[in-house]
Amino acid sequence: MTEPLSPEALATEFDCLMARAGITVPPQRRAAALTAYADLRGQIALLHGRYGPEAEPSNVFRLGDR
Amino acid sequence: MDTQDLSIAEMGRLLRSRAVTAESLARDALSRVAARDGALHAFVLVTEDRALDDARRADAELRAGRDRGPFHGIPYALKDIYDTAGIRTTCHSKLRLNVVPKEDSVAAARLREAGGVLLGKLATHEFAIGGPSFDLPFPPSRNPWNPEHITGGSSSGSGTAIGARMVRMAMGSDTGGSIRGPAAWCGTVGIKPTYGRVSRRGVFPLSWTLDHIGPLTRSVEDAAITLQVLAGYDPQDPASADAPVPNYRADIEKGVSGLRIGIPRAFFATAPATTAEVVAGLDRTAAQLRATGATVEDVELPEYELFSAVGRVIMMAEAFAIHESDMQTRLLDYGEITAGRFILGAAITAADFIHALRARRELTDAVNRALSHYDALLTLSALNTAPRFDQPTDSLSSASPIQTIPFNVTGHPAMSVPTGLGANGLPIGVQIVGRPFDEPMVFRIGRAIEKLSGWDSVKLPGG
Repeated sequence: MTEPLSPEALATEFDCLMARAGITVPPQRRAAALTAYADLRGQIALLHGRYGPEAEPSNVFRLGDR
Repeated sequence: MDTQDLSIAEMGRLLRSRAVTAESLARDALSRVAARDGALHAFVLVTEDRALDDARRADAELRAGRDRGPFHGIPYALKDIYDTAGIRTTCHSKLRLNVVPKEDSVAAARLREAGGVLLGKLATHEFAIGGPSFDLPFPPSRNPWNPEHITGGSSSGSGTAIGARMVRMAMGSDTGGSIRGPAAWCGTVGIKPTYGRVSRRGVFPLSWTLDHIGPLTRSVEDAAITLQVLAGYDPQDPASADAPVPNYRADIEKGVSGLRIGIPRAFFATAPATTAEVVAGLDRTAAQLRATGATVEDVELPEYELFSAVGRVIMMAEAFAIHESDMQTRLLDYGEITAGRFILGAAITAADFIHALRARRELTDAVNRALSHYDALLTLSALNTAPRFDQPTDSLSSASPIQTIPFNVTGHPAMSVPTGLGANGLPIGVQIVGRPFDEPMVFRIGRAIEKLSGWDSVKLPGG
């Protein structure tokens, strides 16, 4: 998820994700959605490869808290 | 008597001395709404009958010796994502135009129980995210300082209603800055309390783990009075904290002498949208705090971009989970901005989401460490003043001039306070961030800044 994709590969990936989610993106909105997806992908890249297995997510819970 | 500039506490004193009635306060506020809202669109629904009923009951109770406390008889309004029994709650969306809740949200119920007078429901960005938009059932609210400019969002009507002096308190919600952003751009106080401090039950969710609810107000004291009504444990809200509720006004006038305040300057110093005048405003505030005895110095936090990435991934993933079914079947019933933002949630993988939650733990720990050395943090709420409606913007981009999402990620209490006007006559402000559940310190510093800035004497164009 960290390597930049070509525009074509990015579009293919986006279309697959939308199809998997059952979302039909109207053709007239696809270009804007793809640009936003590329922007989001850049943000997500900041999060990958950052942690070892000892780093636990914030939703790990403790029984008996309430 | 012109009541628009009376604080909540002042209104309370006049109510109890019989110099005014709750009904007269409500009628004054309704008159201001009638006079100003045709151009500003803060309200999607004015509940005049309900307001007058609430007000007459408040008056009757005071006459009978029943005093419900500082909010008794005070006019207010609710962002239209708060459930109100018997009153339509639309989320500013075509998808919910006919939704009439059977029960009040917890916040609405608490305000009613405290004797408040409900004037109506306020505009919001659709589902607290999609706006400002002209393709929704109601128009976007406009900035009271210049209606050619936006308010910020998503608590857009709340910012307008307070900024335009229609009411002293309007409830908002804040998932990435939706209280503090409009507060900064409309010249109001706006506090996002600690996560879990105020029940979210009955407020339509955008992102369960980032959503906070709180008030926008004319003054810091008004905010403290309102939080006193709202704060408390709700066993039916899974995030609600069973923590003691302090007296939020007890220390509010203590000043800042001896306090230590850190400025995470790297958040905004090199951000492309940062304008010199808002940084100058922050530095002026810092100098005023130093001059009155505080230690104010720069502090390092993790990079802003990491906070922003974590917040956006969590928000989009959780929002898509909430809207998945409607996005699959009614996508064109959402506004274009809303749908464009929610679509992104469908593109987030499980690993992306879990990495964001791992980073969330790291970032929360980092802010807590900083706050072990400082009583509070001071930073910008917004990097600039409110843009014009016709200013080209990419509404789906991660780039935002509102710098508030770090404390939705970490859950710390954060409040925006106005400090002055920019060269274009629009408000600028600062953001104060406290330790978890230390809203009293946030109010104390906020009140000091309010006094030092002279904001009380700044007049809205047209009054």
